[in-house]
Amino acid sequence: MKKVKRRTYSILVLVLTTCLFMTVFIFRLVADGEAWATFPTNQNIYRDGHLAVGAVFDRNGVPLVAAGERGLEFNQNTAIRRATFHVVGDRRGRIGTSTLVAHAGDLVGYNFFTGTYSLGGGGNTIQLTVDAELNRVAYNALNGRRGAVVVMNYETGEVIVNVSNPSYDPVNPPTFDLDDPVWNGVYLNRVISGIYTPGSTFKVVTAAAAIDTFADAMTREYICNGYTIVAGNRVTCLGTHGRISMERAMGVSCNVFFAELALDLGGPLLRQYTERAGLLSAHNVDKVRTAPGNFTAAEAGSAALAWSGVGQSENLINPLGMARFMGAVARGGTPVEPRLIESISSGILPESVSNILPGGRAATGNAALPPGTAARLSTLLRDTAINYYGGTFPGLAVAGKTGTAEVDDGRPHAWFVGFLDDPHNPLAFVVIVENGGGGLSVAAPVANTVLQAAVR
Amino acid sequence: MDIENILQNIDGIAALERTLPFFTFLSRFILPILALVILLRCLQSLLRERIEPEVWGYLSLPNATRVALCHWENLIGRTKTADVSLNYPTISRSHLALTRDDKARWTATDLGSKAGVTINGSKLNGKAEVRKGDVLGLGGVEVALLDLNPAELGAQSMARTKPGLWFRPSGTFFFLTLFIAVLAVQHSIVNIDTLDNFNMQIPLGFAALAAIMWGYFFIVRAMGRTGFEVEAMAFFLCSVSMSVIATAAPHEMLRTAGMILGGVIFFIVICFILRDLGRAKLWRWPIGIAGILLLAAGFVLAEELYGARRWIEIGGFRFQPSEFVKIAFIFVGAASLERLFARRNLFSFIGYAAVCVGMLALQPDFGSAAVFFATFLVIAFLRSGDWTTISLALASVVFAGFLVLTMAPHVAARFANWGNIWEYPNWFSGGMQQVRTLSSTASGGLFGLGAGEGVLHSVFAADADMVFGVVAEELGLLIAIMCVVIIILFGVLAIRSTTTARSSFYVIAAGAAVTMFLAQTILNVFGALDIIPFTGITFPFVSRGGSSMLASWGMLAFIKAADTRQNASLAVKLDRKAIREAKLEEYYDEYDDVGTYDDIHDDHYEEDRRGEPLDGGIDPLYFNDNTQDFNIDSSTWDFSDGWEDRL
Repeated sequence: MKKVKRRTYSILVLVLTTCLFMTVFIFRLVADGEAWATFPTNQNIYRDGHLAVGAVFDRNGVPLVAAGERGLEFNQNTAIRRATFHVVGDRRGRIGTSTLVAHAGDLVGYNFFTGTYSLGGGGNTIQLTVDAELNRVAYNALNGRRGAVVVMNYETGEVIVNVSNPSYDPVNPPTFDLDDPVWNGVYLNRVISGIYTPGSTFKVVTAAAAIDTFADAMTREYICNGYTIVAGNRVTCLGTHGRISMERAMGVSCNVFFAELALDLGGPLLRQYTERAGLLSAHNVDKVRTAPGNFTAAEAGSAALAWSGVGQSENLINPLGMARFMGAVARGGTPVEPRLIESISSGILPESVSNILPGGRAATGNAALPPGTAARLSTLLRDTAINYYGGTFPGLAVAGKTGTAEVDDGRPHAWFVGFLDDPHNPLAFVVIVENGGGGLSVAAPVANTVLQAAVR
Repeated sequence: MDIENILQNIDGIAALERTLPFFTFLSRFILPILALVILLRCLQSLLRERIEPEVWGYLSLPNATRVALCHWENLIGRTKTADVSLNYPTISRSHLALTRDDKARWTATDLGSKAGVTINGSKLNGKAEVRKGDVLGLGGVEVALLDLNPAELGAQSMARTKPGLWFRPSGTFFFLTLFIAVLAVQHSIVNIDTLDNFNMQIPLGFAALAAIMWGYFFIVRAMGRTGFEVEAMAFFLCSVSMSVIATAAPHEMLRTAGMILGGVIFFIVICFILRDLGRAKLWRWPIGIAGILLLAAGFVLAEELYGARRWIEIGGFRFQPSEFVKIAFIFVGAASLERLFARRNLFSFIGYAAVCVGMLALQPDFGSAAVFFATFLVIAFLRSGDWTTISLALASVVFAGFLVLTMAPHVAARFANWGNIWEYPNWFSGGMQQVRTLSSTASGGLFGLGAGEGVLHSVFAADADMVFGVVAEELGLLIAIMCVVIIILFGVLAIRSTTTARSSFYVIAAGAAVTMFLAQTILNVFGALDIIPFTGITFPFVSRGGSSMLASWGMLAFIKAADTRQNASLAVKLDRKAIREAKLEEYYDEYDDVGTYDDIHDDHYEEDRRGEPLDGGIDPLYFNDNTQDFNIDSSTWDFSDGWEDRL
């Protein structure tokens, strides 16, 4: 009997297998439970593939979308629906970073302990940081051109405008061919997921590196003959500026000046500053991540290094990342992390919102620049706007930089990036009009329209 | 129907509907707490009871010591794992089996020893009966068998702890009744929501379950048994099953209650068969052959349903032969000790198993085939202890499985799907079942969405193959996990009870039954959760299905039969005659200076209070049954002194 008894311990193999599998399952549930629960075949929270619980409002309580008896019901205004399309999402869940997809779990009120249960069965309410009316203004200002507009409060991190075009009305989706260049990237929220050649807007980063590195950065002079030869290649400038220093170079956007600066700084150092500016990393915006940018540190003395100093070459920048950096320049070098969710309410318990510290303070990232450098850069950009973009922004304390990014396909991208040097309206902004042409003539007016509405 | 009209005209109905969210909110917390109380009571009752061995006789050794025979079947030999280990060079490793039957007759069986066995000097050929005081010669080493008379056995019975001491079974059943009542109210309110077809079967079905439970309790109490942990856990699983059916198929509530009643009766019948070891052994092959015939009948009579010939329909009653064959398989697989040493016996079982598994694979029912094969492996190991044979069997089946995978597209699809279900889940090529199960399990959270308020039940066969998901969605992950824990506890209990088992027949049968339970649970639960490939197989007691319910209760009887705590089990005979005689002795003992049974009792509890276990430990898995230790300990059982004189 003792023999047989010992052998019965073999049954423990099955017992342990059961325990092991259960442990594996629980680990998976903790990790993926929200994705499982919000899979569109889950009829607890979806009807015919549409989310059946939850509602989304803008910062002023304007309803953007709500689950009702007849599926998802969107805002009454067509223009608002188009302008908030990428932030809110559509019925089919095609935009991965949209609230309806990325925050489905929050709308449902999913958590590991209570699953999708909610007392009234209606799910949660999400209030976004965006202003639907301002989004509409920005969308109209783009006037059908492809591009992106982002305005963010650089003290609180609230993204109040997030417009991406092409867009459409989720209530009446058009039929189109996805390969049609007109609809290129329609399911992409360009603010979050887009990356663009920054062009001259990158000169702000080059300037930041120079001010921080060279004691004589503001007085250092180079000669612009309309071009300069680097390692046998021509680096061209839009004008012939002669003897030129930082302030005027920023104002007239002199390529030769910043190319020479980049050559003096060297690739690794320039890359280091780009990285500290947060332009090369992905940032968590609630549950989505921005697309990381790119900067290739080219060989010392090469033409590629010269071009990278003026934002061409292989540089790529994400619009929201740039807005975050502009905010950092405006507030002494430390960026505030952007966020799109103002609050999530379940009716019973307050839900936590990411990028907000206990006590309601906004979360900040690693310092992009030392305070002194940030202050000098801020003054430089403000002077640039006053002296060179005069009249474009009536009544606004704009500090900023234009960009005209040469791209392979068609006209250059028009950029305008900057911030309001105004404690009552601490707004950082980025405007991109794809293949729009000149930054000052195309992107700056869009920025003005949006900012005028925003400060009102 | 009248009752519906009445209900419709009550003003309170609307008010009742409004209470639903509130009641759901409460029941979500009440149910897991009740479940936890029930489970902990059963668990603590099982683990706190000491494993007290029974002594059936003694062997007196040449060195004038005495060794207790604690089982009906004792192996005597040189090996350390023998029940009586005699380290003499002339004795074979497994020399002799000394077995006792229900009628207290002892039999010696020579296990092919080199030196042979003599009884009172004459050579033993094969086996022969041994009487009290007979001298057995093992290669020149002489030992004498000292039997216990009925009065002494009775005294021992009275001295042993009866279950139910710390946790009264009636209390556990009370909490179970509360659990069922909360489910009944919750399901009824949910059902009133759709008043046009309010189903009276819901409250009636739950009431019937409670009635069956208490009926069983009082009948078995009347028969003098006090151990109910295993049954309480099974009734818990049944009430979870009723909850699933109240959502998925409310019109089948009473039918299910009937099946549970049938299951309990089946359980009692098998307990009675197992009471008498001789009878149980006699019935092995008739039951085994009936099982094979039933499986074979499947091929002739079964209609093809959902791509397999698994069901037979006779007179409107549809059943699955493979469920009943499980019982036959266990009967055939179990064997008493003296048979374990003959290879021939193992080979006949291997043949039987091959036929069963083969027929199941041809049906095709690969899930059941896998369960039977796992059980075969465990039985074969329990019988032979031979890793080589087991690995060989495993290797050959892995190879056969590989062939099946390459040839049967349906099975291959299941494997191809496994781990990739989220990519393109759909109902035809598979994956959707698991996707829906995982979605619903996550939706339920720890406390569930409320009984009757899930959606997974509407999926085809969710109440059988994906029942874990339905339970987790409606009653919460805590209760779903507790269901799995109960199956694990059955396994731990079976392993633990082998320490004091009377016959290896019961050990092997209990081991086989828990293997069936565990293998089914693993395939059912973790298949639906995409941890292993998905197979359609039932969760014991919980999945919807009459055959499965009956077979689960039938298999539970084998686990119950291994429970030799005093008065614990219907499947273990109560020797009332012995206890009567012991009481007479007690009366006369007042005139002797031998300790009375009350003294014995007191000693017993004194030991208990000191926290020093009498018999070497209460740890379920590490009970130390070293014979020598036990012998020393047993001398502290005061009453042995008196016995020796009488022997």
